[in-house]
Amino acid sequence: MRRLAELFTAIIFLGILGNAFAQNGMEILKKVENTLTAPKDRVAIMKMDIIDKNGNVKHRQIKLYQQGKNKRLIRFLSPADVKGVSFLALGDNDMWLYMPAFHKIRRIASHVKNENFMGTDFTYDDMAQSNYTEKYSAKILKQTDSVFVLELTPKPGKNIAYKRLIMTVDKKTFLPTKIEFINKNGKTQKILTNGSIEKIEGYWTPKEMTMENLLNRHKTVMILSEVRHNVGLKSSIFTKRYLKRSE
Amino acid sequence: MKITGRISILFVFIFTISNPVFAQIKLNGEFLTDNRIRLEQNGRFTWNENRLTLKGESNLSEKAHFFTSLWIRNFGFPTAQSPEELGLRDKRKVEPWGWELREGYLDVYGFLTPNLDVRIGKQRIAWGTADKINPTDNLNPKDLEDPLDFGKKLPTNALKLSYYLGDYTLIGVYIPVFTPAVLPPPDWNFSSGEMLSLPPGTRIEKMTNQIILPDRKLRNTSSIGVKLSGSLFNYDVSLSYVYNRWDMPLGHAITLTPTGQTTVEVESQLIFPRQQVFGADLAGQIFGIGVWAEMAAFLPEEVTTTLVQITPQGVQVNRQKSIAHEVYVKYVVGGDYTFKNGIYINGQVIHGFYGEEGKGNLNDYAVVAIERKFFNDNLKLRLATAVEVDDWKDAENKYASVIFPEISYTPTDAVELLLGAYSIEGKTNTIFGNFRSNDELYVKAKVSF
Repeated sequence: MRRLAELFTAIIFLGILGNAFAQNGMEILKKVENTLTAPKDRVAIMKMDIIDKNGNVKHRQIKLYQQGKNKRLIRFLSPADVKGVSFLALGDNDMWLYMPAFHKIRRIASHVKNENFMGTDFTYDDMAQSNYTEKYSAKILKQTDSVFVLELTPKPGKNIAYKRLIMTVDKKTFLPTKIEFINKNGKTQKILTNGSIEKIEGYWTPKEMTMENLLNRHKTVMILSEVRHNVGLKSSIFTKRYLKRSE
Repeated sequence: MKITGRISILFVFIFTISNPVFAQIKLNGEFLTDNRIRLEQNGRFTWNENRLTLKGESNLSEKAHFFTSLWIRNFGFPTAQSPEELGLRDKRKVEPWGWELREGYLDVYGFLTPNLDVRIGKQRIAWGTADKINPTDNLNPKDLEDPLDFGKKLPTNALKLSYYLGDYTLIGVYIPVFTPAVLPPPDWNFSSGEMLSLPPGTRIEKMTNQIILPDRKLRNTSSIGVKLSGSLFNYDVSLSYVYNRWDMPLGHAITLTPTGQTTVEVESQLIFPRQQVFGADLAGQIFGIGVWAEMAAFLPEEVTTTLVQITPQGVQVNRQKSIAHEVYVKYVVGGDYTFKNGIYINGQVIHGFYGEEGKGNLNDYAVVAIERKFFNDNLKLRLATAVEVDDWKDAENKYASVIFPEISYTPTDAVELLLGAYSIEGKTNTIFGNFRSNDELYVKAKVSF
């Protein structure tokens, strides 16, 4: 009887502890999200190197405009065959692509969101937003002196290509230093590594991001430059009107 | 004079981009080589094109933007008929070449009011949500120079006003000059239906077609368009209205003169009737599948064709209504999806094709394209097929199909090599079936800079 009471107490304790961890997981994820979107807006040039398993490299250069958690406008500056192609994301269901050759803006359906973005290892969804708490539940898997390791599982009804994410969060900056993307078969499909983290204009910013696809040994290295925060971007930039304009 | 005109265009282009005002101009473009042979007809060479596209662009200020695009190309085959022509300084008889100002326009943003953008100049105004076949896209005339490059249009001189209010955009377009369509080469004549029926056993010995362009007064040559677009329930939707002219000519007056026992000479006058087009389109998704629908209701002015037959018994004049003042509707419904294994599929059902105008003259088509990329997106295989059914009750005898296989390879950034073909099968009394001996193989190479 006493053993049963101990077991019962242990179950309740573990439950409370688990719940506390789950809550903390969400709180940490919220802090991560707040750190990623701390500036009101951000403008940056991103140089992308797309590297295949044989070491062949393709280069892309894009300009990023970001406002809040959901608003992104990305414009390709090079190479010449994709110059002017622009991508606008205003949330989960509102993404558009402008292809100058066709003179048209096209709404992106959800089947495209988990596709690779213009040949990179980032998906359209990866490029679109940082609203993790809206899409994922989080719990702490473990922690060390320097990092939290969170497990993110998609919330019901969310169209996410992955079964779960394992996110390593730096305790000092609250930036994810590494995210493992576990696919529906339970295999680690991609790993995102954030490096060269610097404080730019008072905000922790990863200046180098590497997304590696373990299944096809393909990776994309993204290097940020000319990063500017709180430049007072107008909301009119994040519109279809502006999407068609050239830089 | 023609050469002088073309040199002037080049001069203006060079002057424009070298002017200090345009110091910040960005130049880019592409080079394309495109070669085609007929798979039948003993491998006859049908297309020989080397095209340089030069694009110049400048943001003059935050409120103004300039863009121009120029084609310089060798296109066609030597036409020299004599040694003298081979010796001409103008080498066009040896190596046909030409200029073409594709686009050239000025954008003014926030004109008079912050919500109004203006674009003035030669421009492409692309309307519609469907893929390449757009019934609502009627402001620019068709460019059927390459008949299987569906959706290609000729940019025209226009004034476009775009007023933005929240999620909605109101666009007004004024086109002062009428520009007819560029018709396909004679072996790709898409025009549907018989223009005139001759008595059995009679054949045309000589035919003269005279184009009657509208009188060059604004009220005759102008076109207008209005479009309201926005987003509703995660769908992009729009309503549009266009008042313009048919861009393909229609027989208006035909004179038949006998030249022998069983031969006649045909003289015809061709006009471009007025029409109104009421359009609507939408694009969105259903269960993750991208979907779109586009329809246009055409209301042409009535056209009566006068048929004059000169016979030994005298002159007979018949008048018949060739186009009724009746609404006919063209539409496209389609969708696309990317499977988890990377296969992309795109399908459309089309009612009413290029050159099909008038109630009762519209046929049905289904187009499906499947593509898959390999080797880190460097290699793309694409297979498209189009099926035409002119009469569902007699589909067995009124059908045609086209298959378009294509391989594209990108060895390095900004370079694309293409190998493809089209194969046409079907009954001769169908649009595509008429071209079943036009199967072709093509090789293209494109570099962007």
